[in-house]
Amino acid sequence: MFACLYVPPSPVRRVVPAAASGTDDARLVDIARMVSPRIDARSGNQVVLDVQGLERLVGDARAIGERLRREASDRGITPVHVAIAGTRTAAMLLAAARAGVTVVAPGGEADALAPLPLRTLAALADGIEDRRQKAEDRRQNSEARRPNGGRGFSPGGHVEAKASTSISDPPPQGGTPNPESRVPSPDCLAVLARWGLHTLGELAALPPVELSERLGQDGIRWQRLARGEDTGPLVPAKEEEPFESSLELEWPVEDLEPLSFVLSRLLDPLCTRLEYRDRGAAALHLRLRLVTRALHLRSLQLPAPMRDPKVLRTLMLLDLEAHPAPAGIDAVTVAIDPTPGRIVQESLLTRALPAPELISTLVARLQALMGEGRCGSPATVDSYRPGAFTMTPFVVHQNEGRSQKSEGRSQKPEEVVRSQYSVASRRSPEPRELAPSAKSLAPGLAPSLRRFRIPIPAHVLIDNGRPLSVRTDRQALSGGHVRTAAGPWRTSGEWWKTAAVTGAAAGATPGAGASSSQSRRAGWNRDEWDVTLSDGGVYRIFEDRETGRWFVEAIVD
Amino acid sequence: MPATCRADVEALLRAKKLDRTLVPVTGTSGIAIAPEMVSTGLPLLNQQLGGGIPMGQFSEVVGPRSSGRTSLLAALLATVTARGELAALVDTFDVFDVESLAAAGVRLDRLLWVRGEPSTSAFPPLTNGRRQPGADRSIARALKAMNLILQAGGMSVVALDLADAPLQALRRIPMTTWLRLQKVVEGQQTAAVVTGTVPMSRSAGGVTLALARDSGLGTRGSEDRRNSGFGARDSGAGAIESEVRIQRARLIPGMSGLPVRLTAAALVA
Repeated sequence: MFACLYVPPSPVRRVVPAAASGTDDARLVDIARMVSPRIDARSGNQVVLDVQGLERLVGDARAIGERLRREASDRGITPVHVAIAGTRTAAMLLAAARAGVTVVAPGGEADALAPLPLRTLAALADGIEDRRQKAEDRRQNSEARRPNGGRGFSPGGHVEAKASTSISDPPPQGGTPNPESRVPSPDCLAVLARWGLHTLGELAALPPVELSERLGQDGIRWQRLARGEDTGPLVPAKEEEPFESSLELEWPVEDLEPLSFVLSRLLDPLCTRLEYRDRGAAALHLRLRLVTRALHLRSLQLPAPMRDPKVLRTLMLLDLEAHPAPAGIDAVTVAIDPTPGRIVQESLLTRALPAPELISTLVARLQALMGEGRCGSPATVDSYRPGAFTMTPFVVHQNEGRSQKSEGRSQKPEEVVRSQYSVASRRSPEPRELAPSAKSLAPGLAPSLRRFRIPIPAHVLIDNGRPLSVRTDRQALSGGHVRTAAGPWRTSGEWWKTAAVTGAAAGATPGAGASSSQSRRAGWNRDEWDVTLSDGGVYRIFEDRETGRWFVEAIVD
Repeated sequence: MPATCRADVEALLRAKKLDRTLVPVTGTSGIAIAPEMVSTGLPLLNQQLGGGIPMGQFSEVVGPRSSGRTSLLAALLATVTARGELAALVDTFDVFDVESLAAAGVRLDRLLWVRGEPSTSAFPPLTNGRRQPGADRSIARALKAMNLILQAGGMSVVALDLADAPLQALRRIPMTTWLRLQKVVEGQQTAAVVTGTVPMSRSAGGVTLALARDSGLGTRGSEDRRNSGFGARDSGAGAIESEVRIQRARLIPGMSGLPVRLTAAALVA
């Protein structure tokens, strides 16, 4: 016996926002799951469930139908049609055509369907296409709703949740094409109407051979549907399995060490389940209920799917070390966003790169040691500001080594040197030739700067526009007389930007104009020199043209 | 030491399985496995080194200020990252210039950059006196970071920059610290490199590249470029010439040990 819950489209329901219709899907599924574990969510407004064996629990078929209608009504889903029949097809057609609760005894499906109009078959076509579109819409909506996710609590701290899958998204139903989706199109229905066929019974009464000669196998299929015959078994939808675990503590926990045991106890079974389902954790969510009744929420976005409980526990502890809970912890909840496990194909010819789990743990430990934002990969920025750079997360791409190794091998040393100069010539687009004397020596290096993030103030004696001596008040950087000097090179930029600063900080950053105590220009305007001093060092110094002050910016090494 | 005595000592070390740091020498008994090398990117230097910097060992790049240590390290990182391998740089005083690294050819996305405290701790005001607690703290953190990276493994080169560390602070580092780090890197496919002003950390199988600066900026034809006006820096506006001497615990037959001259020309604009 099968039951079908059907919510008919109506003008009133069209004004309901899309979010509410998405909720109706979930409510229909919930109602069906209350009664039976074998359900098939056909579309947003139709759910089919197997009610075989529920007579002893609920009652006869009409009692089952009344219960379903009552549950739907209690949840605000009205109107709703309920039909119970011996086949799924008959239940769906009867629910689409008749209001209220319809019960058909097994064996009487054909007679019950006979008077229904042919257009009722269109209710079966709402299955696959609408379901796929709605699944895609739900997936897009869930990604747009992040980082709140669908878990019932909002993560705190740094949240960059972008899980590839969401537990709250029901998966698309039916992995294989459903023959029932191939129902008569409106044109076919018009042809059938011209033939004088208006009801399902008339279609069912046609001789099959002649029908197949005119309409092919589709005609035979439609005839079977008109008789209420199923073309395949019910494929029950898998219930979404939340990867979430909670534990109430007998007494509050304040330190990380006892908390680590709690996290191990929660993560071990979750990771085992992930392994059984060939899933990895894309994101970790931790909810700590404190003794003050407040919630301390943390979320970790993982660079690659992981399911090693020790690694996940270490990452959580390192994160809590940087963002500790303000009070004792009463309850711990761990939730995991699952994602399919990754498949890595290693190469025998290149060195194996470290696993993302190892890199994640290493970077987390380094950040705990050196501070947030002090570890990662450097990146240049599109700016002429001296020393401009940005930090990016250090991520290992597993398939890079193989493709890039040939690049490194094919480059000859001379080409490497030449490319260094081409990169260095950012400000002089013309290709630069090496000086003849340099070619006679061993292959050269691209000189590197050791840059002071905050330039060091210097006292520079000037004679005829050239620096004579450079002195600072810093240990190991006393300076000396200028032996050789190259320059000046004038550089300026970002004159249009201003930075609002307090009076104490105004003008603290050299190279920027301090026009007022309330705001200062964020740009720079300087004359740079490269000098060799008597202490043997080669330095880059500059004069801030706004203030006339000199600074040591870098050491050439 | 007579050859027989040396052979006996080496045999004893092998019996106690302490022979992993022995540099293979021709004529020894047993199977000698040459250590793998990491190319420095400079053919002449590689030739003198016998292929490059040995893996599983601590090596050093030392020299005075502006002798080319940073440039040589950048060239090493560029060679490694260009092959698709990973490298780590522990920048104790946060002084490395990203543009310079990019100009040297370093693949920045394959470089793990660990930045310490800003360089003010290495160059404190003169009024602070001799003790520099900021430098000690930065060095301690950098050593811990290097330990973490070496223990994690997976990197082809792990570099620790102590070039700006005060000499007094370096001398306060216990010798056992270096021994412990050397034990961690032993047997790994990782070359550990430390930059500094004086040799301090080289392991028995490592090399010390001692750089000596020959000349400063602007000694080659820079007379015409003085007061050149407000233009872009040209190639040959100045150059830093250095001499690299290779120091090892053992003399490798076939390696002449002649110094290598390097030139760092065309300052980054």
